[in-house]
Amino acid sequence: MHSRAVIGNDIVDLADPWTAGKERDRRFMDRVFTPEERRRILDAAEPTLELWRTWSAKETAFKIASKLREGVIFAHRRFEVDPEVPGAADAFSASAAGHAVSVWFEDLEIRVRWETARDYIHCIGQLARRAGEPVPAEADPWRRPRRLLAGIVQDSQGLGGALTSAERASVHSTASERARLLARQLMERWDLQGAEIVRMWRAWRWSPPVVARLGQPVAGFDVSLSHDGRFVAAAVVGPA
Amino acid sequence: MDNAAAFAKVVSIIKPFVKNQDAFAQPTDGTRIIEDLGVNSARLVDIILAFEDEFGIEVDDDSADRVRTLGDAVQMILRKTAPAH
Repeated sequence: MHSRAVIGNDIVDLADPWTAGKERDRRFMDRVFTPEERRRILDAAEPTLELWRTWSAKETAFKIASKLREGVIFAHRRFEVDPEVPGAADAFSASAAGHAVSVWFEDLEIRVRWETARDYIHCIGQLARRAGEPVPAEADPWRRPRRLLAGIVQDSQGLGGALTSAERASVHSTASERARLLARQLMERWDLQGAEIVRMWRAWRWSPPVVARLGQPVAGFDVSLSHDGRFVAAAVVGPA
Repeated sequence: MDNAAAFAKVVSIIKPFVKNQDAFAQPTDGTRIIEDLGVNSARLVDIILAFEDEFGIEVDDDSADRVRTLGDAVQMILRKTAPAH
């Protein structure tokens, strides 16, 4: 049984002209989406919006799977978005933040939900089930005693604070720096003296970001960062 | 096709997708496509599809996932376009 809260997130800037009408790009659609996902996107009232919601769900699930397993590749069609959510009375589906769906990858079920605005989609997900076993309540960020905080800022909005040298080691752009600063702001809700958001270089890629202190992950916390176009987004889960 | 020719084609294919044009001013084998050039993962799909069209190759998911740098892209393309023995 998996007792650690594991989250992921992904933001899409819908004002980017490249995102518009992407559902008409047959090769992109075939490469990324399963036949059922393609049908759902093309039948949707707003196909472009549905496409990027589905994309962000896959990306979110990929981030979570990468935290749980070594060597996961982002083979898009292997992350299957399933809008049929069993157990509609669960905390996730009943969330005030809106409708939730499942993304399946191997034996992992990842539950995601979206905040959708006129010009962005922000997807947040959690591990819901592994090898047929639901995550215990203490690892569910949408139930007590967990607290999930998320934020989004535009590039015109200032973000205070400074990163540590360990945090800077995996920063590769202004956007990735801002995503960390945003996550640090969210982490202020907890008394986490000396905590950092770091990534480790593993074999041929950076590990997902973790909340760490003295180079070791802080138990009970998880973090996810995303940026696209004008937006950066972060999500942090920790004790309530 | 030699390494230099493949590199030049890779650079021309990726150029329209690059957000950070400053980092693209002096591209090298070690230039990272996502981190240094600011290409997002969705656009990376279009880049892979463009490689398939330009070089007449098929790029499976595993091969695509291993393309981190311009040099990775060049080596993958050279492997896939090498004459069979």
